[in-house]
Amino acid sequence: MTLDEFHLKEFLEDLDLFGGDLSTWPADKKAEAEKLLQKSQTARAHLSAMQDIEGMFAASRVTGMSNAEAIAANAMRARQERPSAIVVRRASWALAGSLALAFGLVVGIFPFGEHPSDVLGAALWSGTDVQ
Amino acid sequence: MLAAGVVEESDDVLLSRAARGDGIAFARLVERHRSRLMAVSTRVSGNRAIAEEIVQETFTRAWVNAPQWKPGAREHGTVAAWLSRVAVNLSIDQSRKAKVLPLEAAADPEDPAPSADAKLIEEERSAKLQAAIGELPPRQRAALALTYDQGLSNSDGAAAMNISVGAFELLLVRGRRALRIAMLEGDGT
Repeated sequence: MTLDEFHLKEFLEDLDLFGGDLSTWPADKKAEAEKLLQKSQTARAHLSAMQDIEGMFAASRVTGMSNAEAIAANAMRARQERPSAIVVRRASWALAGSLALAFGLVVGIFPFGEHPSDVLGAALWSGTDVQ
Repeated sequence: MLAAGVVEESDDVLLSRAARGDGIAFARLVERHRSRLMAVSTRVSGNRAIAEEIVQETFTRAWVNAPQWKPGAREHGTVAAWLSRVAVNLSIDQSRKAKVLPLEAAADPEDPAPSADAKLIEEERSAKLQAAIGELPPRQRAALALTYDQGLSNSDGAAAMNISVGAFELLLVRGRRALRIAMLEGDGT
């Protein structure tokens, strides 16, 4: 790699980092860039391309949309129509708590013996002589 | 428009008023941020209609979550950064589902005029750029949109994407490089 190629590579890296507006570059980088731009057609072409890109970004910026009142009204209506995530989350915890409590009550009323299957067996065969 | 002498309320104040059900405060917040959110959402999603839906959804989430907003909380950042983060994430999700098309504005034909050749060249270059933007990964597109469409600094852009400044700069560098190379293709440079 020649010295010029090295400077061009550095310039392109700076161009991608700082953009096409040289006035916003750090002073030392800007001075190096200006020196290179005086003698390199390729550097000038890349700078020009970057400036075109930035100009076209500004020209094609989209801003128009529904008025603020309509957006706000839709947002407020949407809240009424769908439960918020927090309500759903709290309801889920409440449901989980209720199930745990119910399970605890069942276990308390029908305590398992040494072999849990005994309880199930007794329930299934109640009234039947299993001897 | 505010009358002379009226102090403009901060985003935090407007959002806390919205949390108490103040629709006027909320509409003022929407008015303040909708344009920049529309710009970035359109750029990232590549579709105005979808961008309008994204902006609507962003403000719906703001209204729903307003009671949980804690001004100054590190996980939230500023209201503006939080809104940007929601809009950018929704836009990135959307653009991953569907291929981004060039913005409609770039494809509109113009009537012939004395400078028709220059206009044609300009339109072709604009269409080339829009196509190149559409080819970028969504996160690179978002970083460019936050920089050029919202005018955010690298640190604010990073906050809006919830990434480090270094990671944001890397996205910018890669995005700019891809666009620069795409624009110079065929120019013999």
